[in-house]
Amino acid sequence: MIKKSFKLFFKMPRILIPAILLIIFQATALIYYLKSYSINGDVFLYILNSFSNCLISFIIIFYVSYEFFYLLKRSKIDEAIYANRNGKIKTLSSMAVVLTTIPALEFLIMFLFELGVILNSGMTDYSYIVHIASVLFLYIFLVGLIPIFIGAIFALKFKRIGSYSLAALIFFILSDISDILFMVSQKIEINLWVIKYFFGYILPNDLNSMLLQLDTYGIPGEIYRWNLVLFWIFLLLFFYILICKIKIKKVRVVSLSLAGVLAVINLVGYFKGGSHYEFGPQLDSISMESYYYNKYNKPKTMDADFSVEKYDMKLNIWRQLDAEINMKLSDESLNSYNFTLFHGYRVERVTDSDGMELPFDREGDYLTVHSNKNTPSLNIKYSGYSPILYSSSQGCVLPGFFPYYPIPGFYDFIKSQSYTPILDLKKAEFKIDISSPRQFYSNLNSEEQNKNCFIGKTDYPTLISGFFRDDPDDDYKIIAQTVKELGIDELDAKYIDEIKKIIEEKSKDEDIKIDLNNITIIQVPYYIINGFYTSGLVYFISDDQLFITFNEEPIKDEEAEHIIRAKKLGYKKYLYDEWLKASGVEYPNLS
Amino acid sequence: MLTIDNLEKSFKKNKALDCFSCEFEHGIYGLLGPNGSGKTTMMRCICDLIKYKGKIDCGGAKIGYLPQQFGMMKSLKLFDMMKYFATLKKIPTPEQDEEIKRCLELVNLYDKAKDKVGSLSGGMVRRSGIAQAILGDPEVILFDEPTAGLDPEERTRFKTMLKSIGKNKTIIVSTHIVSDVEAVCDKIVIIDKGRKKFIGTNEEVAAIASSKAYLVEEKFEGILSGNYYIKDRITRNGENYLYVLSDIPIENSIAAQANIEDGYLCALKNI
Ligand SMILES: Nc1ncnc2c1ncn2[C@@H]1O[C@H](COP(=O)(O)OP(=O)(O)OP(=O)(O)O)[C@@H](O)[C@H]1O
Ligand SMILES: [Mg+2]
Repeated sequence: MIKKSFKLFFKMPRILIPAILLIIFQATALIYYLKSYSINGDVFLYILNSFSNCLISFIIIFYVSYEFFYLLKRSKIDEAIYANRNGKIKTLSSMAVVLTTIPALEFLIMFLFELGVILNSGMTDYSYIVHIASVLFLYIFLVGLIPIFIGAIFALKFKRIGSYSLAALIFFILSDISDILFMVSQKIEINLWVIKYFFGYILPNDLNSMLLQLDTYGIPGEIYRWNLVLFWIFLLLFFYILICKIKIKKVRVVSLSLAGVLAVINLVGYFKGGSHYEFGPQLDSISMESYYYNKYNKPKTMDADFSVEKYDMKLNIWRQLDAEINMKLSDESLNSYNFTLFHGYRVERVTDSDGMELPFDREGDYLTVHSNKNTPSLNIKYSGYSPILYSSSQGCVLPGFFPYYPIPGFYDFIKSQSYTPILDLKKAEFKIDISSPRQFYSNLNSEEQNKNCFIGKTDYPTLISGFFRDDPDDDYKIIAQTVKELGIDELDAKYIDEIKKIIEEKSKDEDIKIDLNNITIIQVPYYIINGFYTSGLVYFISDDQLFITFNEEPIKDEEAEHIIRAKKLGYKKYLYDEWLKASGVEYPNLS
Repeated sequence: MLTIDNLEKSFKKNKALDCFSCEFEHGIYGLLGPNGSGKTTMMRCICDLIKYKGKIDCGGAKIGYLPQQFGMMKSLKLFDMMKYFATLKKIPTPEQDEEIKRCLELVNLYDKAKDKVGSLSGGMVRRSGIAQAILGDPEVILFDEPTAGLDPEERTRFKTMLKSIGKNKTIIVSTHIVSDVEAVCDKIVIIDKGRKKFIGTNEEVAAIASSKAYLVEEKFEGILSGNYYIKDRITRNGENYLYVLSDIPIENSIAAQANIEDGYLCALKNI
């Protein structure tokens, strides 16, 4: 039957030619990008660009599908076919199978091309290949099934004019043009944006409009995005099965309920959300945070009258951060304990060492736990995410100076809707046990048996994950990104060697000791730094870690000078100085 | 063979089929009814193309169906189109070519097998529709106005073919043209406004009108009374006559020999 349907398809120039043109167009576009970005260049940009034709592809596949299925009606062959036992389901499903070869071919061509680019760039992180395969599968193949189903359902149920007008509406919502809905919504005070929320993330074209560099994160393909695409597929499949009128009742009921249940599960999953980048004029992560702080921020500052001696953290990082943290307190006699904990985390429960629940106040970025008896330790359960500092199964960036864990005392760490690092933290013992499909990295040392469990003493426990590597044989502990970026040198031991040499030379006469061999050097994603109030070439330095980002041709001399100055002045003073130099105003005095 | 029990189908308020019950044995049935009487709707119900109330039981027999509106994909060759149907009807691949040949020959189209469907005439498409309905030798075959658009020669050929394939099968031929079915059908079902009016052999249908058909001179038109129907106006020996079906005897009239059409009309008009 499928073979026969292929024959039908190949004998229909009106639908065959657009389908072939689409494939040729996609292949040509890939070759064109190859020219612009060069095969050894920026893998990420190259891949992002191959998504840019997704709306065109969506429209063409819809057209092909609609016309293919409409042919049944138009040629008046439908009744003669459907009159046969299971004739409808057989014909319709074999036609759908024929059509799936279009997105399948697109997927295959793109994957092979991109595989070539990745391998040619000399990248050795094979998980990146898996990542690219999976996001292409999501955005090219699975998303490509949606217009097939829509085309089929429209063709079988609606008239031509109605179908194409409805389709035009869908195309509009899917395209970037519909971003104006947001502006219109604000004018008429009716939230039209909701429509966009349902469809908006199906296509990856919004990724393309971002000029952000997500090399360490990869193409956003978080679980919630799979949920949305699968929701549409199963919902459409449900209607498709309904139209197919399967004669055997058992099969019909089972397949319908399966499709229905899967659609609902995925819809729930989509709205459950999780840590991810949010896009669009309303949902952009940085503007979302700005909006929040503009509206709700009531900053407080208060020094803590206690400290945490030991943190025992169990973190579950899949959709988002689910944390259970046990803290050994320095003073067990207080009536209330103040913490700073980012507002994106919802505190579920606070218990004392006996497992008794304790009352707590949660207001913005602040948490106060009340207790009227001795409290040697506290156990806090919370979950959530920051839209800027992501923490999902795809990647994670949680610097130690950001309150992703309860930091004693109240800190105002927001300035002009940007984060500022919380500095001058006391050292504490940490045990951070992470459950996640990804390999994590930290300035703390990992356990032998469990690479995702970190133990040690530090003032800033930094957790990082994504497309990173660390080379244990190196003289240095370097955590560097694995995806090659255009114009950025790889961060490797050789590079650090050179910087080290320069530092040694320049700091001969100074009374400081900079031991690059004994601190963790982290190449942090540029995008993260953007969310913070920072300045200078050294983004952060403490006793045990150094953050650097090469967003331009690195200037080693300058880099070395900055490291020396940051070490000499202390990071806080260095940051304030650099800020003044760059902006002409004082760094916001927050504490 | 095919049992229809209390079949009911409404389109909004319009009852297309109303308590239609009928048993079809082996044989050729003529389904006679005026436009809009529910013939097509009944066939669609039998093929499970639309939802209905009531019971239809064909004992799991294969059904061949020629819809009233039938067409095929124009850019395909007739033979390929037939292959498509053959696969759909689960005819084993090695037997397909032979079976297609048999069916196309029955409708006198085998010489057009390699032609594109788009190049066939309307009547040829109709005949290929007949060919696809008999493909695979189904036990129940439904023809919805099969002769619409066929020339006289092909009409005759169709009737001959019906006779030749009609053994051990249930064939239903819907039409509103009595002459199409009278010679070939074993039984005639008269349907009107979705209800079964009558079922019987050709003779039985003709018998409905026995002693109800009269030739009346035109000048007596005024005296006609009761339930009557003027079927025709004819001229004989320079005189104008009316061919009248009437349930009460008409004075000054000549009794006429009733035929099947008269019976059909009497059934419809309750004469
Ligand atoms: N799809 C439909 N929607 C609404 N009404 C319909 C539909 N199909 C048929 N009908 C109505 O049902 C009745 C029976 O129609 P049907 O087509 O069965 O008649 P028929 O006996 O086949 O007539 P014909 O000799 O003209 O083909 C008619 O009154 C018609 O208007
Ligand atoms: Mg009809």
